[in-house]
Amino acid sequence: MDSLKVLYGIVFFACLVFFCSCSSKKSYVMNASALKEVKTVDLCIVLAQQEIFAEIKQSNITQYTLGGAIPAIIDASIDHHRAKDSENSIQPIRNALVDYDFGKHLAGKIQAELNLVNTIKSDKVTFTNNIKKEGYKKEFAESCAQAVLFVSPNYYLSPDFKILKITGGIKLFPTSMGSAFDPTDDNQCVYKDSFSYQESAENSVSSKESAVGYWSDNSGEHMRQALDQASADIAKKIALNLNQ
Amino acid sequence: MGKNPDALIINNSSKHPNIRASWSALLLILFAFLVVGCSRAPIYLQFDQTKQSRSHDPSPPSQKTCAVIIQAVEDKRELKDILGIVGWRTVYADNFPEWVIHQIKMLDSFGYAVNVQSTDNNPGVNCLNLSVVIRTAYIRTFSASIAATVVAEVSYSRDMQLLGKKMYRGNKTKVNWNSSENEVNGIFSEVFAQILKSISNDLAQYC
Repeated sequence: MDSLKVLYGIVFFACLVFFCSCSSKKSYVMNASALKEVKTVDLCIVLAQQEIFAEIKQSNITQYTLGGAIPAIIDASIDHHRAKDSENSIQPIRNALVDYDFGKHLAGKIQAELNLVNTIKSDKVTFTNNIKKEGYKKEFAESCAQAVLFVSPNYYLSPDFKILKITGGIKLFPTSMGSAFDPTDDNQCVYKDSFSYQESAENSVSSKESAVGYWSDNSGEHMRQALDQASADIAKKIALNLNQ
Repeated sequence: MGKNPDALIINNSSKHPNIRASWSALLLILFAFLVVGCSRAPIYLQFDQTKQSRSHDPSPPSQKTCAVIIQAVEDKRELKDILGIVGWRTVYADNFPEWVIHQIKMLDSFGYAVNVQSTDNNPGVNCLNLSVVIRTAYIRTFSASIAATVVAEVSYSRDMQLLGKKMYRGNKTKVNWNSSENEVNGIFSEVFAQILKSISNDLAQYC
């Protein structure tokens, strides 16, 4: 009987811990006091890609055959064939979006939202496609604001072109750390977050070819709308977190 | 019988010095290949004349009637810091408009006399003027492949009259062997060769 009581106690405690951890809102603000000090923010969009691309479904013959040089070569050649096919198929979408700059749209939305936050002012926006440390350091060194907000988005299609994915990270670094700045050191940032959005065309398309048409028709209307919506959501999320 | 096995190996290899030399050479090549493949040194886009002419594969040059003047090459790319990252290597093209001019000059291999407009050479009456706007240029690697893209908008005019405007896209996907400078330069030359071929086809209607 006693052991049953102990067991009930353990189960109750486990449930309590589980529910408490699930209900608590995860805070992405790493340093609340430092964040309160930030009054001016420079925004930097770190965008590695210049045009949309599609994911490749990786061949995994090597995995099933437990390794070996020949399966690895077969995998590499299948992957290359898929990559070539994907690059050729995506051209109509790229042509439809040739005048659309996702980085600029995202920056515009974020800056507008940031300026709605009473305590923060954001005047300067920069763009870089250098995702290495040196790229971040250059933008950081040139900033005159109290902090630099790095937003690094990726946007791409699923291998069947039916789903548009927008993912990325957000990091706010105070410029007070000067030359000690390291973009990979999360302990240095006062706010860190990530985002992941999906827009599916699965209800409207049946094949890869029709998906290309869906995303590229009317100068890429659906794609532009989806990217704009994602930009607006990302901007709202950042503003909400920084306004705490 | 009581023979030292090591001595046997030494004796064998001394009997076949060519085999030993071949193995050494093979290992050296493999090592060099790995070193190049793991390099983190930046890559710069080069003006390699021989490589470009090889990749163009032009029709036999026969002099066309009109001369082509490159009026301007404007770089309207939003992100100009780098062309991309290949393996661990950053690809720089600080001189990208000059590289494009250099490539367009290769139209002479299609039979067109190409010059760059300067204060010294005013365009003649029959000259066809080309204004180029670079929209996009980048390189990326994924899986075992390397892909490069260049998008350029070309305006054709004569005697201040706009004859036409067209967007050209060059794209090439190849196997990424070792992320070398030659590979990067080679793929960009091939990409621009596609654009040049399309331009040369369109030039026929204006000349």
